[in-house]
Amino acid sequence: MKTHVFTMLTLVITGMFAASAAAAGDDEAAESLVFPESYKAGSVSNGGTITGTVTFEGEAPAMKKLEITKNPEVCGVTDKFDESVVVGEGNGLKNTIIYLMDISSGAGFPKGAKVKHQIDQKGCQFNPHVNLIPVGKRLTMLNPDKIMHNVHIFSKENPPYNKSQPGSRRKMPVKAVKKAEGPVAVKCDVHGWMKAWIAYIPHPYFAVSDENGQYKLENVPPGTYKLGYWHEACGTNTESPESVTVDAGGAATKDFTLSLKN
Amino acid sequence: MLKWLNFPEWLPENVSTFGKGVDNLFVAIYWITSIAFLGVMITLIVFLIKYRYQEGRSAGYIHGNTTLEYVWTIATAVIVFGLAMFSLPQWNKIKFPSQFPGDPGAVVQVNGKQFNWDMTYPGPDGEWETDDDLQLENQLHVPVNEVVHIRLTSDDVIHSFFVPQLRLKQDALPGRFINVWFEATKPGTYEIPCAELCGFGHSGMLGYLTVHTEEDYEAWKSERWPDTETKGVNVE
Amino acid sequence: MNEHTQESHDHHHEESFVRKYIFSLDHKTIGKQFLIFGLIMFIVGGGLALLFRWQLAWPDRPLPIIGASQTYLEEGEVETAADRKWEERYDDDKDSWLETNMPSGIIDPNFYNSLFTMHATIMVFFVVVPLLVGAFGNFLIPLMIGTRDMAFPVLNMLSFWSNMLGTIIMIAGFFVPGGHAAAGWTGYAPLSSVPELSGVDWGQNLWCISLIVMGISSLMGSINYITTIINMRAPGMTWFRLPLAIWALFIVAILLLLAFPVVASALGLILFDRLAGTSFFSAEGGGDALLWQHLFWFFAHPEVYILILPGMGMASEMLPVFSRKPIFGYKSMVYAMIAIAFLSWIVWGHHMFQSGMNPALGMAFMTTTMLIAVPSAIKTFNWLGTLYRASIRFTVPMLNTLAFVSMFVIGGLSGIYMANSPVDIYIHDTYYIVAHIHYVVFGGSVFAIFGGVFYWFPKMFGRHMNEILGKIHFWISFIAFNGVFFPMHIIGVGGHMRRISNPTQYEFLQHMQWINVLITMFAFVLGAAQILLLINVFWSMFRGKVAEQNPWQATTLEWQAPTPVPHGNFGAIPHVYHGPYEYSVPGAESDWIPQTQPNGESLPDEPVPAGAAAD
Repeated sequence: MKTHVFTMLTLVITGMFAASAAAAGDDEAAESLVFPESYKAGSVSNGGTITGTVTFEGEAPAMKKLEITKNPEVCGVTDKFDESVVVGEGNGLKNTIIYLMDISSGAGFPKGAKVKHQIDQKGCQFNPHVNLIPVGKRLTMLNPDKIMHNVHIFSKENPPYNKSQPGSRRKMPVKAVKKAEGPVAVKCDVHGWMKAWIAYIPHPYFAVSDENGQYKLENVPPGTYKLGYWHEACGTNTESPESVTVDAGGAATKDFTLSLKN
Repeated sequence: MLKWLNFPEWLPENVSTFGKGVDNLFVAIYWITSIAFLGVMITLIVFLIKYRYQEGRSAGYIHGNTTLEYVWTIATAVIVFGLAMFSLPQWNKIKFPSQFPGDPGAVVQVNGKQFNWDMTYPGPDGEWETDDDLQLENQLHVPVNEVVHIRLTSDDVIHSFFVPQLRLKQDALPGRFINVWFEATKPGTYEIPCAELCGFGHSGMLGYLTVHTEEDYEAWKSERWPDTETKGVNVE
Repeated sequence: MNEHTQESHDHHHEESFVRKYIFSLDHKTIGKQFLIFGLIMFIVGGGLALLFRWQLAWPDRPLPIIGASQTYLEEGEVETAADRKWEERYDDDKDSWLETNMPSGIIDPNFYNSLFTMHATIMVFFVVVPLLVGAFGNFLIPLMIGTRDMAFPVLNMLSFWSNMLGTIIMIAGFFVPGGHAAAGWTGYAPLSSVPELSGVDWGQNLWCISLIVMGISSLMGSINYITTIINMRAPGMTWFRLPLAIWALFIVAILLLLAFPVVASALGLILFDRLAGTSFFSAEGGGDALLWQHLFWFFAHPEVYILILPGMGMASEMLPVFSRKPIFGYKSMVYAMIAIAFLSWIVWGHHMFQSGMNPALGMAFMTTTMLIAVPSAIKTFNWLGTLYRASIRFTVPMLNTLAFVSMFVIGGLSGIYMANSPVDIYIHDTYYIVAHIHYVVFGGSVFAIFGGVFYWFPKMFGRHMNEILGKIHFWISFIAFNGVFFPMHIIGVGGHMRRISNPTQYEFLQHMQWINVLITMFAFVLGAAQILLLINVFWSMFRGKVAEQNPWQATTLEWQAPTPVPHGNFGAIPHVYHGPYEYSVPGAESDWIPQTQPNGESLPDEPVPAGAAAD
């Protein structure tokens, strides 16, 4: 009798694992980045650079002011704005990811503990808004606010992450992930307006445009690549990527002009 | 010391039309149970003193008393059954959608989500999911002395819509719309805590119910839907 | 098992230490194992409660000793040794257990949820059930019905050891990434069934698995109890000569047998939802959150009575002994327990008045729930009736039993508020329900356990517990218990929601925060008092006053067995001549007539049941 009970229990549990493995990965693909099937990291000598500017087409929409409905004594000290479209000088579009779609070998990520991947939550806003976190690297969440936030990362390929970070916890390490993915949304469920993006990247040829819309990819092995972009509100060019050729030690330029989706 | 024992005194102020009925039942049960409790405790203490061990006095040899047992069984049954029957109308009045008072002064959809309340107003056209819908986080604005209908639902886990001063509580379930109603009798701002564990942010999930006077409410509406002001805003 | 082989077995077989104390088949040893296990878990569960009481009284203040200083929290400047430790922990990039669960010594909200979840889970499934059903059930059933052991001794041993397996799985949950289950002991879906919504990963899975294992342990126990009580009663031990404790355990065993499969399937569904991607409880996949509540409460309401019925039975044993009087209304006591057990199956909806189920069900469940007051009142009045014209000895077991009776009265009466569905609209999920459940389970069951441990200790270990220490423990516990749980009624009426970690976030609760502080202070006293109990138990096991065979001059069979009780319990299987509570029989020599001795004047020798005769 008892043997049967335990055998059945074991079978049931094993069955669940099998089923869960089968179930993973059938979620619909959101607008996301394209990653190479495999990537070989090595040393790159005589690499070139790709630079350029991302420009927003037309008149930039005014940033919507966010309504602070919680913890106004901390979150409401400075005005907060919706960061989905941030346009700077010369219509430069911030927070665009520019990357090489089809690179299969190249440089590895910089080594050592000096490179830290951090997202600050000061004043109830994630900063930076768009983050590139290498696969296998740890992310640290900073909370200088002395009130509770929570870090909810809506991963699909990797296990989703949802953890409270109380006010007393100034730094919270977020476990490194195993698969390239994203960008995935990061939210704080306590403060509904807080939102950021994380792309888990398998190789270093990703860049985020700065407040003037400028980006730079460095140490690119010579060759011709597909150059892709991703922007939260403007979408991607996965269907028709730009082509760019980098010469040994040379510099290539590619500018982008983006407009809102739909 | 008496305040400690006087439970009803600790109820927060009641500001809803049906709250009085709930409070009355609470007080009725308070007195029934207090009398029962005092009766049992006094008997117990008297017995403990009177029948404590004393040299030379031996205990009685009593196995029971059928009449007495019938009496207290039937008495208890009558009291509790009567209480249940007496309470039913109040329950029906608050919770049965078929008995809700009609002609609401406001209809609002309340979505619980981790860890905020989303309030959606259908806007002047009275239809859901149209362009004039207004969504506010953690702010519920209603007129005083008018019936308010709430369409309660949840985006993720179970939450519970609780307004202590209204004596109103109803769980919000993902995938279901549950209708509740209330009629506030006093303008002011009241807290809307979540009363059902909804995760680590449960504590602090807090919205605010603002009960406006008639003029205030009109002013609030014209502020939120300025375009339709001339047509006369009617949220219903 | 026949008498002859049993005796010869005793003579030439010296058991090894492992066989005798660890993997023992003897119901008495297994009972003692459950007792010690339950007492240790009692301290664990209580410790968890003290941690979250700290948070409730002083929200977001660091714990003493391990907590960082205020300066460190506000300015980031290292001041004390603890600060330095915290600085190191934050800097080393590793995610230590302390850092995750109580950063800077402040209890993390998710850990807070785990704490109250595990406090309730441990107290219900690892303390009260193992103590009442496991310890007393195992020890008392064969002794009180006059047989040599349980019907299935191996099953009995497995019951204890699967219980231990469940415990290991449950405790392991504290140390897995993501923390332990944090959806409350009621585990409401979808918070419990979708890992992402709570952030809890394997903790909740282990919680489910452990409870399934614990349930299997209970099943093995209950099958054993039912079989033993039906088939192995001593000659003359008819159903209505059974002590009330045995009746209670018999009814509880039936409840366990029927209730457990329901919750096991529900827990299985949660596991499927979590691990296999099904959506039994998720609306977006066609499931329903309320399904869990129906399944869970269909089990858990009987479970609540599983927690209290044995306490009632034990109180009904001790009350007549120390009143020197027969129990008042023996048969109505039995029928009341049967009625409570029956009603427990048709009242589960009263936990769900505000859950969104059809309000028409609310009407039905209010009526059935109110009816439970009837058998409960019968029991209370019968206990009072037992005290009428008694000759009361205020021993420690008696004090605890009297506390049981009076606290159960409060717990029962406060239940009427919640049974009344309109009033429940307001007090549902407030501290009122917390007060109610603790008055029933702590004030009721745990005080019965205190009394029971003291009362049966001499038979279990052949020594007495210390009377003075026992009295000190009782009075501190009794006063502190009321200090902790009575004010919870008040803050409940004030609207204080349960399961919130920081009441100061709410304006309407501010004026009651001092009551939270008061409760916490009493909670620490209550916790400290339990150390006295542990000291008393473990010290008395080895150093207590040696007990005679029947120190309380009680009538039931266990006291007619020699002390210490040998393997096989009785020299010759006793013959039972009358009911269990023949005290102060007029004209008798002493004021008690054991069940093994004819009481002369009355009661013809009733026919012996077939099963008992075969033994």
